[in-house]
Amino acid sequence: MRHRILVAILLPVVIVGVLLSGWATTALVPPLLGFIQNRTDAGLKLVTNLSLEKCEHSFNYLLDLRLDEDPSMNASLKRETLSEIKAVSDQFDKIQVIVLNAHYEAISNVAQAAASPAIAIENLNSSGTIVPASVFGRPARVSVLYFPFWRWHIVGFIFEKDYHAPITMARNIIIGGTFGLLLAVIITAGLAFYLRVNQPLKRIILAAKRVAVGQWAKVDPVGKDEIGQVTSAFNAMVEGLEVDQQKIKEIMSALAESEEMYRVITENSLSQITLVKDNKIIFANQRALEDSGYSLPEIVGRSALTHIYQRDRSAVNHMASRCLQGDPAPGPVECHYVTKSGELRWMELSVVPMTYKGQPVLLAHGLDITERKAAFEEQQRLESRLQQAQKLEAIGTLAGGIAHDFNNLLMGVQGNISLMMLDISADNPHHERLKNVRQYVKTAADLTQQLLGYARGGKYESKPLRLNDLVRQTARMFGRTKKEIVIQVDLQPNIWIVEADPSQIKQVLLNLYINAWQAMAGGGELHIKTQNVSLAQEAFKTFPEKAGEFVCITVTDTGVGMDEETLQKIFDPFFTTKQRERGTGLGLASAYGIVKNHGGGIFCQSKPKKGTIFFIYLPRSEKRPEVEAVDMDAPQAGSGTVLLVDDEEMVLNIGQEMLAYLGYQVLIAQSGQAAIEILEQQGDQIDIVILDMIMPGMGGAETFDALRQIQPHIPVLLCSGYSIEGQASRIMERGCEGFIQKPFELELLSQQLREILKNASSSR
Amino acid sequence: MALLRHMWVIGIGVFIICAASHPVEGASPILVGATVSREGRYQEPSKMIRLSYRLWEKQVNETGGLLGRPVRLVLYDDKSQKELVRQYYEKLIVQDKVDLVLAPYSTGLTYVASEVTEQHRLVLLASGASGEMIWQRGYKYVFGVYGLAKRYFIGFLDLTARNGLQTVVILDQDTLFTRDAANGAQAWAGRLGLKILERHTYHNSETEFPLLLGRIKNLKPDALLLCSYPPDGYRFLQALAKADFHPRALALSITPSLPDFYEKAGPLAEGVFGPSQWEPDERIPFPGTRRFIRAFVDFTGVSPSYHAGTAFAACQLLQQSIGVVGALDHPKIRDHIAALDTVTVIGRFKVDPQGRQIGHTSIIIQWLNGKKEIVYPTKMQTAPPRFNSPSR
Repeated sequence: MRHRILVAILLPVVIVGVLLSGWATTALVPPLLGFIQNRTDAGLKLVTNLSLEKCEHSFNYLLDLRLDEDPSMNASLKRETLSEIKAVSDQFDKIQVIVLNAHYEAISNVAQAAASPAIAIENLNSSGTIVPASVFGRPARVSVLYFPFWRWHIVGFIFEKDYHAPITMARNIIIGGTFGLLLAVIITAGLAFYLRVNQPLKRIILAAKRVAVGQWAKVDPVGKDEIGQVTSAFNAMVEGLEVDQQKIKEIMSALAESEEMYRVITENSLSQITLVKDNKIIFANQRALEDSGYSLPEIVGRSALTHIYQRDRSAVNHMASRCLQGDPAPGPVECHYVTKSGELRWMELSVVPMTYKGQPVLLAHGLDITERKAAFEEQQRLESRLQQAQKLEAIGTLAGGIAHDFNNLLMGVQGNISLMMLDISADNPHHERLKNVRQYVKTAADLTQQLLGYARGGKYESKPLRLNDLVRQTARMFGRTKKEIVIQVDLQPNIWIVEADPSQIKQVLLNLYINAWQAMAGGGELHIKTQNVSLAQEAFKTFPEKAGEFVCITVTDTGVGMDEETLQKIFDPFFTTKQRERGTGLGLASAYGIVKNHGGGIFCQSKPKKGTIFFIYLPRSEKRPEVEAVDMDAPQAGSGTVLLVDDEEMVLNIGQEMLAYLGYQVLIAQSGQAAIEILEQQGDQIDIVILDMIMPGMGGAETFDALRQIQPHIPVLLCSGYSIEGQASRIMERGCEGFIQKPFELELLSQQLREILKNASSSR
Repeated sequence: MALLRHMWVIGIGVFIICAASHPVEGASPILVGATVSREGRYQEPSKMIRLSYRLWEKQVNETGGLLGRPVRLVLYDDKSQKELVRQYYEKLIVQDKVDLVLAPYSTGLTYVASEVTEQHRLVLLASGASGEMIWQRGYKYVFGVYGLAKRYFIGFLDLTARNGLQTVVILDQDTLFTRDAANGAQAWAGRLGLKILERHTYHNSETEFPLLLGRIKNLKPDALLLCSYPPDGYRFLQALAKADFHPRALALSITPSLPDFYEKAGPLAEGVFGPSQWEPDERIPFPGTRRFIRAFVDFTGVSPSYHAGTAFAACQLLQQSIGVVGALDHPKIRDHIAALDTVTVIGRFKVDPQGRQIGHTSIIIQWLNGKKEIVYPTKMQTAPPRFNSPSR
C-alpha cells in the first residue's frame, strides 16, 4: 500500500469525523429539533395566551365600565375580542386560533368549521398544554386555554404538517451540512497532506533509500514547518549517520581484529574449550572438535557428561556442582573422555563459572593428556628401572667387594691346598680330603664368580664368537641331564658375531635353563632361539640403552610363569621363589650383570600359567671370531725373579710359596711404595711384577705408572679379586701385559707367567 | 416598646406623632389629620398606612412642602374602633383645625370617618377601604383608591375556573368589608362557572373554625376562599393544618398581602392565594413605584404592603390636586380628583361619578417558594399560578 501514511492519517480523521458527525447528528439534532419544537410550541402557547389576554382585557374593560353584566356590551366586546384574536393569529405563520363556546362549537373560523368538525380532541385540557388533536379533520397540535367569563375555549393550533416542516428541514440541514462539512474537511486535509506532507515525505523517503544503499543523499530544505524540521533533522541524521558509519567501520574493524584475535586464540588453543549450559554443550572450539571427533553441529546440544567416561562422571559432576555453588576454580580433575570413535583418552578438565548472554554457564577447559600420561607412566617405569638398576649397581658393588675379599681368602686356601697336594701322594689318606677341599674351594670360587658376574666383575676375556655354537653346546649339555623336558633349538643361520666371554654367557644360559626346568616340574618344552635383530631407537626403548643390531637369544618355557610382582624382582640378588636349598638367588642377578656387562640386555615376559620368555640381546660385533682352545696344562716350572706386590700378607705368603714352587725367585712388596723402592734398588734383577690392583695408599694403577717410569718395559701381571672391568681395564689399556683374577690356580699362574715372560723376551 | 405602648394607654389615649420634617421657613404648617390603628384587628395593615403617611410627610417637607408650607401630620390611635374614629376625626376637624384629612384603615372605619369628613366637606381619599357601601350614600367628597371589595376575588376565581377547578367554598368574617368581598366572590364564582358548595359567615374564629373546617373538608371543595382580617387568616391556616385539609386552591383576603406573612405563617403560607391592590415589585412599571419602594424600605426598614402603597398613592393624589388647585380649597380639590384619570405608584386612578375607584384593577398574588408572586392578571404575572394536586 503506497499511501499507507495518508490512509493512516486520513482514516482516523474520517473515522473520527464520521463518529463526530454521527455524534453531532445524534447529539445536536435532538436539542436543535427540540429547540425548534419548543419555539413552535412556545409560539403556539404565545398565540393562545395572547388570545386569552385579549379576552382578559375585554373582561377587565367590562369590569372597569361596570358593564360586565350588560348583554349588548358583552356581545359587542366578544366580537371585538374575536377580531383581536384573529389579528393575533394572523401575525403567526402557520399557527391559528379557533375559539369554541361552552358547547365546543366554533365561534371563529366558522366557514372552516362548517366544512368539517372544528376540533376532535379527547379530554380537552384547558391547561395550555400542547397535545395532538384533529382540527378541521386534519392532524394538528393544539394548546387550549379556557376563558371562564364567556365560557370560551381558546384553541391555538398548528397542523402537524406545518409543525414538522421546520423540524424536518432543520434535521436535513444539520445532517447534510455536517457530512458536507466533513467531506470538505477530508478533501482539504487530504489535499493539504498530499501537498504539504506526502510530497516532501516522498523526497525524504527517496533520499532515505539512497542512504540505505550507502549514498549519503540529503533533501533540499522545504521551509520551517514540521516537515521542514523533519527535512533538516533528516539531513542532520544523514550527516550524523555518515560520521557514525565511519566510526562504525572503525569500530567494526577493531572489533573484527579483536574477534579474529580471540577466534584465533580460541580455535588454536591447545585446550579443549567448551561452554556448557544446563549440562548441554553450546560451544566447542576447534581443539575440542578435533579431539572428540565430532563436528560443531553434532556436538552442540549434546549432554556434556555423555562425553565423559562413565567411571569419571561423578568426579566431573562433583567439580561442576562445586563450580556452580560458587567455588571459583574447582579442579582440575583428570578423567577419561570418549571420542566419537569410542576411544578413551585422558583429559585434564577444569571449569570456571561465568555468565553468557545473562545466563550462568560453565566454561570448561580440557587438555588432552593422553600422551603426557603415557610419557609419565613411561617415565615412572624408567625411573623404576633406573632405581632398580641403581639398586643392582649398589648391590653389585657390595657383591664385588665381598667377592674380592672372599677370593683373596680362597686364594690362600687354594694356594695352600695346591702346595700341600704337591707334597702328598695320592695314597695319602689326606689326599682325597685335600681334593675335596680343593673342590669346595672351586665351588666357592664359582659362587664368587656368580657374584662377580652379577657385579659385572666376572668378565675376564671377551672375544668375538658365534652364539649359535654356545647355545648348541649348552643346550646339548643341559638336555643330557634333564631328560623330562623337550628342548627345541631354533638357530638362525649366519648369525651375527658378538663379542663376549663364552664362559659367562654359558653361565647365563645355564642359569636360564635351570630356571626353566625348575618352572616345569612336571616336564615341558624349552624353546631356545637365536636371531639377528635390528632395533630402532623407538622400539628399543624398553630394552638396552642404545639402538642397533643385536643377536637375540630367546629362552621360552611352558612352565608356571610368574606374576607381575615376581617379574619385577627376578633380577634382584638373592631373590628366589625356590626353596632355600635349591637356589641362591644369584642366578638371574648374575645373568643380568653379565649381559649388561656385555652391553646387552636381558628381559623377561611372563604370565602365570602361560610360561616365561627371556630375551637376551647382545650387540653385534664386526670382529672375526678366534678359535682358541683353552687347555689347562699342568704347572710348568719357570725361572726369573718375580716382584709380588700385594697388601694382603696371606696373599703375599701363598703367592711367594706358589712362585717359589714354580721355580721363580720372589721379591715381595706389601705396598706400592715398597714395590717402587724394590724396583729402584733391584730393578735389573726383576723379570716380572705381579701387581695387586687394590691396595691402600698407592693403588695398583698409580704403582703401575710409577713402575713403568722406573722401568718402562718391565712386564706386569695385574692381579685382583675384582673383575677386569673398571680400573683393571684402564691399566690394561696403558700397557699392562696380563690379568689374573684371584683366586687363581697354580697352573693358571704358571701359564700366565710363562706367556708374559715369553712375549717379553721375544720383544726384546 | 411594650412599656411605651402601656404609657400611651394609661395616658391620654391619644398619640400624636409630630413629624420631624424640615419646616419651610416663614410659613405655618399645613396640618393633615388622620387616625391609625395601633391596636385591634387592623393594626397590621394600619401600621403600613401610618408609615407611608410619615414617609410622605418627610418627602413633602424635604421638597419644599405643600403650597410653600410645611406639612405636619396629626395622627390619633383609633384602636380599630369606629367610635374613636368618629371622635378623633371630629376633633381633628373642629379642634385641631386640620387643613387636610387622610383615611383610616378598613371599610368600617372609613365608613365612619367619611361621615364626619363629608359633613365638614373635606376631601377624603379612602386609601384603606374597598367596601362599596361607602359610595352608596351619595357622598361627594369620598373617593376610592382600592378596587372594590366585591371584585377582590374575581382574578382568583377566574384562575381556578381556567385551570379546571370546579367547586368552591366561601367563608367570611362578619364585617362590612369581608362580607362585601365574600358576596362578590360568591357572585363571580357563579358567573365563572364554579359550583359553590357552601357559603358561611362566621363570628368567632377560635370556636367556629375547627368544626367548620371539619365539615367543609368532607365537602372536598377544589377551592377554599376566606374573607377575613389577618389574625383570623393566620388562625385559619393553623386550623387547616390541624384538620389536615389541603384544598387545591386556598385564597385569603388581606393576610397574604402583608410582607411578613411568610415569616408568621411559615410553611403554611406556601401556595396561598390572596388579592392585592398592588405589590412592591420593582418590575411594575408605574411612575415612581421603584423610587417609593426604595424610599419606604430606607425609611422603615421593611418592604411596603399594598396598604402602604395605596396610602402613599392617596397622599400623592392629594398633594397633586392641591398643587393643581393651588389652594386648600376642598370643593375645587374634590372636583379635580373626580375628573382625574391618572397613574399613581400603585397604578391607574379613575373614579366613577359616585367616587368608586374604577381605574385600579386588583391583582392576585400567590406565595410560591417563600416568595410573593403576582399570578393575575396575566399581563402582570411574575410567575404562573400553582395549584395543589387533587390528592393533597
